[in-house]
Amino acid sequence: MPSTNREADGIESAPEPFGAKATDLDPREAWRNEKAQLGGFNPPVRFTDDQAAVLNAVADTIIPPGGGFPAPSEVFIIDFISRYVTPADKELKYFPLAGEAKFKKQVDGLLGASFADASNDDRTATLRRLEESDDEDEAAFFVQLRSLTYYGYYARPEVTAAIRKELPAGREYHGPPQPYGYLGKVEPWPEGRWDKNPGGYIATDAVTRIEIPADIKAEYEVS
Amino acid sequence: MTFRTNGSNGADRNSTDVLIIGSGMSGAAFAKRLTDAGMKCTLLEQGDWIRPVEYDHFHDEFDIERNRGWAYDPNVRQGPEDFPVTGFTTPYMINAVGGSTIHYAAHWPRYKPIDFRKGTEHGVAGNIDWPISYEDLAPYYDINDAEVGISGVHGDPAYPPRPNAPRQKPINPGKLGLKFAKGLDQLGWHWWPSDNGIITEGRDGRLPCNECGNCLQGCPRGALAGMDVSLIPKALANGLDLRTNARVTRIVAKGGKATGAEYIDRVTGETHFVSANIVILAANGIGTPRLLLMSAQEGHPDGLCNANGLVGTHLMHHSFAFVDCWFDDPVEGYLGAFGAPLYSHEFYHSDSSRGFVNGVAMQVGRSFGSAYAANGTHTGAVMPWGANHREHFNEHFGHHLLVFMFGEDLPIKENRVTLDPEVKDSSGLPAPHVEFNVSENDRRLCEFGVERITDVANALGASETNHTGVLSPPPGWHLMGTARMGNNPEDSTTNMYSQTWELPNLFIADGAALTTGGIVNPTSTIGALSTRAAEYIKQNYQNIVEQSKTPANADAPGLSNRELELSAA
Repeated sequence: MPSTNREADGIESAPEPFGAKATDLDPREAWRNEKAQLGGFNPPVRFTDDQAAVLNAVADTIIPPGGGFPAPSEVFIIDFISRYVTPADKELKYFPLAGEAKFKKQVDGLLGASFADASNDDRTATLRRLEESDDEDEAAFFVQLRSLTYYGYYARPEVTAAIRKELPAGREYHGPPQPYGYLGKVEPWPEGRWDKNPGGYIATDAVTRIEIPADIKAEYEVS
Repeated sequence: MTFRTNGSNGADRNSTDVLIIGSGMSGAAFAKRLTDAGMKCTLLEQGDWIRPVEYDHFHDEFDIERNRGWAYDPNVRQGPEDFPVTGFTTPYMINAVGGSTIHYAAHWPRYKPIDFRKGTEHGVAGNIDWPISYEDLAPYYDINDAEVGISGVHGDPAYPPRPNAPRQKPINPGKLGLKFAKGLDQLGWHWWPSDNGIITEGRDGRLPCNECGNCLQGCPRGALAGMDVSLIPKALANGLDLRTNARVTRIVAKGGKATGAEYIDRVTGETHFVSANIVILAANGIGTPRLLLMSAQEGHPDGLCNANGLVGTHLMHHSFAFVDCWFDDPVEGYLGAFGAPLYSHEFYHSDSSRGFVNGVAMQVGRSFGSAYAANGTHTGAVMPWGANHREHFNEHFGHHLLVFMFGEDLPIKENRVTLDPEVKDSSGLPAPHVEFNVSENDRRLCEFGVERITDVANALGASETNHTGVLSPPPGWHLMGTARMGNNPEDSTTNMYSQTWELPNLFIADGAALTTGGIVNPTSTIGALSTRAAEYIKQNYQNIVEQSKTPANADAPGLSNRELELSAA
């Protein structure tokens, strides 16, 4: 808070706080609200039932279920998408840079409610067309859909459980790094093998001029 | 000693013995050592404290946060505490108590003796010899290592012995580290378990590493050597006056001396001036030249310490390329401390027959989580979608091993930091602008490094590899060389004790001060250099305060090792 004894505090000037309203007593809450939040936006974007069905169908096409892995729609991928699409009242500045209004318009216009009921082959063909489109907006929309699906699906505990159960190389994987870490799961160095390693260094007084490759010498100044 | 007592505040808040700008490795090392000596130190940090719950480690969505609020690049995070950086660059840094040490690998290798003698070795581009040797710096590496807390193994034949640097047991390699070591063994190449600023045994109230693998996102346990948990708390206990959200607008100079610095309290918007007998600028290899350039004033029309036009030039990042390798058997790259479990310095030294000068190092890293794997891991190899996705994911996740090479890049005068004439930070101060091109020598070196890593992958029977090729711009983990230490006022910005040639009581020993980059992560060297400069101030405070001109290297009052030994005891 502004000091009552500015001279003693060495204050030269005191304009309104940067990045906050003049009426804010402390701008830090406003700064926090402007930054990317862990877990995405809250409140999240709301989709219509049709839009949610389309997005579920998109995710299920990008990562088909099977082999012990659930479908994205079964693990509520739509919740994740709702939190990581930027709401209309927020500045569009965070990955995957999908803004609510445009994203919804693309879901409705480029996919449409019929996408949800289409065959898997037709859905795949539609998404492939977007992926390979020369239209930058369409291609970018596909990348957003894929990123949201990949990041969302593999963040779900049900999917982590499937990885542990189905994949020998994923047996130890438990998703969020903390609080458990992987103590006791990481193999140590074998005892007493260090004297076998080769290696050497050039001592300070042993440094001498090397021959510089001719074209490097021609390319750069050499002192 | 005539300096003031610690912790005196109140009416004396606007003057101090030593004013430190920036709380990363350099600023924290100065703060610790100088408050140990009883000096009154004020530290200005434009960021705030990061609390453990603010890290992404506890969240299911931790992988995506790497692209958002926990991105390495301030231009992606876009927080008001950071400043934007324009130009052809991907700068990795963060403004917070602890600086970028709260968001790094904490790999802790040292320079080798030859790294201080690149002028003698070849003198290509802007290379000059450092005015100091490895031996001059070694005692300070030891002190800083002891104070920060380092894990590793003594005895690497590729380094001079360092018996006085305490080491906790090394981080565990896991299947990943053991595998790559085996490949290097097959080829008869050097490798060694890495020194890491990651504690494997609790100390200073910090929890030991529990091998979660998310080191690059910081560490809510305090196992990673963030200065916010290692040196800053010790300095605070000594009475350090730490001011957060304090964004410095300029350093003021008068009569050939720095008189202090002006800063904005970002919370109140008030501008303050703190006068000081000595000023330490420790704002990193981009922030430090930015502030010198922003401090243009009467008598210093081109910025402080820039009469020779060198401030901001000779920027180095290290040349980088990443190689992802996959194997049929489990590698489990998602677990284990990142840091670097091991490194190979087989190709550290110059060999003219390769067609370039300088060398490359290999470092082994980890894989992060399943979502990161699906999105292409370190080389952007995004997994296929649709019918083939499941099979591809199942074959690759947990089978991945990352090796990256970095090479010593040449200090090139044109690779530089200037002020952007248009873009501003949230306080209206000019953003730094970076021009950086990877030149021919460094491209060749990258290609060579990728080939050698691929040799190891092939020796191990990798099922697949993918690499980035030379990264241009390189990932800006290491910000070096823009206000370098040197031999005279014509070739550098500071003398051999980190005093700027232009203002004897302004010191720089952060990444900007590094004359060459070696082929190692720079933090331990920044810590050693800063500890050494702090010891110089401690031993010569009055002399420095009374100097009207920065002494030539040969004429400086110097450092007494006897005093150093006494203080260590």
